[in-house]
Amino acid sequence: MSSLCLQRLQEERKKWRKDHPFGFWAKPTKNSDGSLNMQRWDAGIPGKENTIWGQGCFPITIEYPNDYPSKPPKVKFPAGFYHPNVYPSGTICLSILNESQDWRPAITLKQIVLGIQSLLENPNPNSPAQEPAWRAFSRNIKEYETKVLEQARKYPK
Amino acid sequence: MTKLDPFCCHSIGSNSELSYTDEDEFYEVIDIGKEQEEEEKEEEEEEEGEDDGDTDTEEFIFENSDSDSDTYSFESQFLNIKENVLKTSKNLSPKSSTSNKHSINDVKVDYDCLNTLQLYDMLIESKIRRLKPIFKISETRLLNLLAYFDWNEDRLIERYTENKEDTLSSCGINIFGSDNGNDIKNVIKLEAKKSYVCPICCEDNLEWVFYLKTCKHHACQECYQRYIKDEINKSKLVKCMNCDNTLNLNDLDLIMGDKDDGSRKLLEFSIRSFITKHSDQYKWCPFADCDQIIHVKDTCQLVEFPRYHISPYVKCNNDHNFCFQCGREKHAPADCRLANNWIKKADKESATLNWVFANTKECPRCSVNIEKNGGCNHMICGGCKYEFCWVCEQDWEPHKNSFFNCIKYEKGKVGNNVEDENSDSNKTKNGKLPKDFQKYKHYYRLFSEHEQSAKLDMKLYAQIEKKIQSMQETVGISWIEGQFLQESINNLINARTALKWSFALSYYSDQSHNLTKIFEDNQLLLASNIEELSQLFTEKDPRMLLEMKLKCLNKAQFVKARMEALIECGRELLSKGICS
Repeated sequence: MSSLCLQRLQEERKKWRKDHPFGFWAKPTKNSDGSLNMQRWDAGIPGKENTIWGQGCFPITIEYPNDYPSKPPKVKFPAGFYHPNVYPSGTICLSILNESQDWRPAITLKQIVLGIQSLLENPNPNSPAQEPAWRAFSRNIKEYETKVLEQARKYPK
Repeated sequence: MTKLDPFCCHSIGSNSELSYTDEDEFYEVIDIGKEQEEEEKEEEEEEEGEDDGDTDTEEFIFENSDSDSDTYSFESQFLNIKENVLKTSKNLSPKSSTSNKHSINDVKVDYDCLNTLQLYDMLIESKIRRLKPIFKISETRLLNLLAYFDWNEDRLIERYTENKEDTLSSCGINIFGSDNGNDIKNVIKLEAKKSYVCPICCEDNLEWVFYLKTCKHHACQECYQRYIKDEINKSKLVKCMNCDNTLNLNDLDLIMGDKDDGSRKLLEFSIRSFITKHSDQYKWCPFADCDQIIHVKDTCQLVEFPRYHISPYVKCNNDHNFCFQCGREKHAPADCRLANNWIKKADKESATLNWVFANTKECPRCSVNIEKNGGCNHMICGGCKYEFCWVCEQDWEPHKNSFFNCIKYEKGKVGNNVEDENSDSNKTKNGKLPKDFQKYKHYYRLFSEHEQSAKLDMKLYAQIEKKIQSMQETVGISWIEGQFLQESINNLINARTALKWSFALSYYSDQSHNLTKIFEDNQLLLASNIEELSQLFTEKDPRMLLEMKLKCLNKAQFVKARMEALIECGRELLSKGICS
């Protein structure tokens, strides 16, 4: 791990502990020997209140590459997550997480998790990443909402 | 002339008109495209008077070459031919320009050779001057725009007139801070305060900070340099680390502290994409580690080439020859289409054959592995002293007088041979290979033989300067006198390439046609002369080399003439549709 990557991640952690949006959580994972693995984080994204996502808090994993912050981290939901912009593997399709699109080295963890939260309730039907959720979202909104509520119950707050 | 002499048709061939001397006889035997050729024929008949003289000489030569190559005094006849060629071409040249409206000699390609620096100086100069009055923004901003639009100014102007603000903001150019055509620096370099922490790397105790005036974002020098180095190789614009504000070329140079790492590099990147987008006009030299660019001034010229079954060969400043159309090495007498077919076939069928032929062969007698490290096909086994021919791996004795008749595809003889070999290397389901494959294998073998030899010739070529030097030292001749070696080896290499590609042509040709036979006889003659020439180069003693000077030059000239004849004959095969 480069020192630049580590330095920045430690600062990110410090900032997060000092101040983070309500309902969210994020922490580095632990290696088998009990030490912290700064390049791999676990986090939870709460759905916004009064939306179909509101009942759940959805787990994500954040993997920081060695050349972070030049390159964006890879953020994943659990495989098979039901959302039009989430690939079957769980990888999130979001422009600020795309190196060739809107990723900037200055983007912080807070911006990332808030971006994902707003993606949950505002899917972008123009760049679908999986078929079932996208089809239901654009053709049968009732079915979509039922599936989302069902999923939210699976990951309660 | 009563019998159909295979060589009289194309033995000189430095001028296409010369080669039609005996066209009349061909029409009796060959009966295709007669009507179309009527017109040509009439023209040729007018010229026949002048051609008579050199027909005799040609005949004379071939009688000689058939009988005994050792006693064949080549030089005097060669000079004879040369005289004739000069005489006839002089007589013909004014005529041919009037009688043929579109002679093949008119098909030319005008090009120049540039490197990236020259190319973008050219682009920048012409485009900036034209666009600056329209946009009323500074040159560096204009360069941002042009780079973003891959130097396609039409598209840029179109988009700009459609929606001015959108175009500018999509390139991250802040129109509110409009510079009215003056170069304003967007980035300021500041000394860092002690308490400053860079938002990117979270380091404190820093030396320099860069601050963007338009968006008020900032980061330390180290972060910015690292970021730009990374970004410059993948995008047309470098943006602020926090938002879409674009850094202009001056900003990059200020941050990087060096033009080569900053603006030059970014421009080079966009020039590269410019070339890929304008590949009809600009092409990189395909040779390894060569950074030259060929620019064809008028692409309309290229259209004429396929009609005549020739290719637009160009040469870069590093002396690399290649075909502008397909980007391959010189592939005459084959045209681009045929060369393409051949290469595709080779890719498909001969990945394994490549290995079978490429490197070593076993001595036919004692089975020791032999690597060929010189240009000649006359092999003497180091172990058992068996003399054999590298091509057919048979006894050398029968080759002695009628040099290299093994290059001819003789169905019965070679067919059997090939089948035997195939049984252990390339078995098909029923153990037999299709006839076409055998034929292909034969020609592919010849093709790769000469490819291999060409590589060895290139090795020789690399040593030639040394040879000339040693001649200067031991024999005491001037450098310029030694240049005959250089000249001869150039001819050898060119002829070898042409011969190589002629086998591709042979494979696709109608074997039963007379012209194909003539072509193959031409091939045979060229091949034997090439081997003789390359044999001359194996001489190591500088004194002997100098003695052979005349022989070498004559041989090289003759090889060159034969090569041109072969190419012309190949072109005829293609244009008459005998080769498909």
